[in-house]
Amino acid sequence: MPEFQHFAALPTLVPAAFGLVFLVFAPFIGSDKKWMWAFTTAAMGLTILIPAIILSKIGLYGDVLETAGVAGQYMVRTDRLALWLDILFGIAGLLALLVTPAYLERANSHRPEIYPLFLIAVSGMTAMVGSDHLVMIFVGLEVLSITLYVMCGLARERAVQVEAALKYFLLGAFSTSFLVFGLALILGATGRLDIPGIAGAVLGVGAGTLWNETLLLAGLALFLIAFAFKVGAVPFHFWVPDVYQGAPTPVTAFMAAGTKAAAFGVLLRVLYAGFSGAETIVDRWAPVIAGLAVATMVVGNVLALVQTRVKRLLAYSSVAHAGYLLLALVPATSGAHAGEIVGGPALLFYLFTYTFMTVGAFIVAALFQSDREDADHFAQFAGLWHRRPLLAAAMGVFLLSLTGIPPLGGFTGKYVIFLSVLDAGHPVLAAIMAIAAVIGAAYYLRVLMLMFIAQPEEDLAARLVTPGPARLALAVAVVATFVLGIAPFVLYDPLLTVMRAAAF
Amino acid sequence: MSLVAGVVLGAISIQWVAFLVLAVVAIAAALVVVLHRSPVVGAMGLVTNFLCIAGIYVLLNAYFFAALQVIIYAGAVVVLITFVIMLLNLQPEAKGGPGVVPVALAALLGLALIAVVGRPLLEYAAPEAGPPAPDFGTVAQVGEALFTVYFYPFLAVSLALLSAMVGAVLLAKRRLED
Repeated sequence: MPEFQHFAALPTLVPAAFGLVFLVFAPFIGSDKKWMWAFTTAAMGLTILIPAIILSKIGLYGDVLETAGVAGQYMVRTDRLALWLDILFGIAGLLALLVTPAYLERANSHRPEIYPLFLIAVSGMTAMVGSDHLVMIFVGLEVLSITLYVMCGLARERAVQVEAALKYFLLGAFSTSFLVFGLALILGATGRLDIPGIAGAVLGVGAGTLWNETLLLAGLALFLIAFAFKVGAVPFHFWVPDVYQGAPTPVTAFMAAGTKAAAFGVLLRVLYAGFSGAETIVDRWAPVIAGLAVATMVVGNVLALVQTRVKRLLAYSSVAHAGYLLLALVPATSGAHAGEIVGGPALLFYLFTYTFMTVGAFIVAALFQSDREDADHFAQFAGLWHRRPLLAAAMGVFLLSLTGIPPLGGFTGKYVIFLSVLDAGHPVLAAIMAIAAVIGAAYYLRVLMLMFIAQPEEDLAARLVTPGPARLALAVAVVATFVLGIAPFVLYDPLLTVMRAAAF
Repeated sequence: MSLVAGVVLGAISIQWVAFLVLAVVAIAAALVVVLHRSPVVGAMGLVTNFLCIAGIYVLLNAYFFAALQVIIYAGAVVVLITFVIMLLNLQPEAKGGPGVVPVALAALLGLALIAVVGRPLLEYAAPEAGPPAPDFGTVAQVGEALFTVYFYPFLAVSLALLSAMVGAVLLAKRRLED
């Protein structure tokens, strides 16, 4: 009997346990949703604290905390990469939670059960990134996805919301089938589903011991398709605008930041630790990732140009940002620099800045969305500066950061990705990224001009309430965006060790 | 005829013939699921497919999994599917579904995938497998794997099922309130 060190699984077990307990108590709390919200927010805070504490102590225990397993198959692998991402999930969940009650109250679909679901979704994310085993990654992804389907479907007042929930569910199930088929082929080719085992088989390509390379590559291709679906990479992005538009805005914010971080964490670990051992294999998938990145950056930014609703615009902007992140995967996982200072930390740093700026922008959109169908139409934002200067300033910071204007976090994030891509010897890719970012500037500036220069068409200020928790979330996001822009080293320097012991 | 003669002469094992029959029926049933216009016939095709897969599990000495396959998939899942079909009173698809071009494209891509995945399998010379371990696929072994190596995935799966259940209850409850 192997011995378990459940300590390593705490970042997953704590949100799961709190989520379960709160779900059990949900019927008894009844109409008083405030308590449920307060408890969940506190538990989410604890979910951030636990990985942070483990992270501060991890050097004392060696670089990896893991459960003992059979035949080297470790289900839980808690290393720096997983812990940093766990903190990120907690932050995304906490920021989204802070604005949730106000939004749901106004959208008239307030149910206490949505709060524990946030915790269960976070536990699914932590399970995904904190594992060495594709079975665990798959199961964690299912916990996350199923919970998000439910959260999307909770607000069903309008046809567009029902459509979003159904579309997300069907396409999500579709991408899951790709993932399962891919895992089956990888298992068939290597005989293993744990990443060290797969890495060993990939190393065998050079030695000629892997019996079939085609099967392995087909499996990897299906695996990549499934995750391209999850991050919304072109050409698997069709669900993104509709789902982001129709889902409750706080859930959209959580989805945009959290799901993306979890999927990129898995991609980083699986590609770097599992499939980078043999050059012939890397030469097959690295161009695919680069191609996906280029298509995603360009298509996302160009389609965002023609949007007239803020949520849809942010959805296409999130597609474009998935492209930048995919681009960061190239130096992080392949080539001579893989796992070195370039790449991995740049990807994680950008995930952090992206979380603050995109969740912040969605929170502002959530304050606008009311019972009206077109509440996030551009016209509603016209002249925001004259009515709500602080709110307009916050939205301005987020949009400028998404554009990549110094001295904001979005700029430093793009800059480190740009440098790491250049460093890895891909000047063309770096140039395409710069061009895509310039195209992107056009639509962010459109909203900015509208907010700061145009005159308000109708007076919405009376209807626009900004409750305390939402203000707190916005303040945190603004401050973090500035800090990551002005003093990026506070986060970037600790991240430099992130790839240590991410492989073996 | 030659197949029968082969079996009689001992050149072809009875397991091989059983596998061939099960595989052909399973594929045919799967095609019925996809192609037939009546949802009820499709559900019955699914049962046939599941039962054939269970038969293949038996050939692989995985008796426990064969039983699970019959109880869970051919039993519970298909009963549920049929129940939904009855409740919704689904009619056969009125029109012929998607046009010729998408179907042809899908078929082409599917065949390409089969070619890519299948070709190496044809070349694969399976190592001579000895008889399976006496406790292979027993309930005890599956249980031990579930509670040791696969402990955390097992926990996570129950979490996923729980949130699916909560979701189903929440969404159904909303309907009644409206």
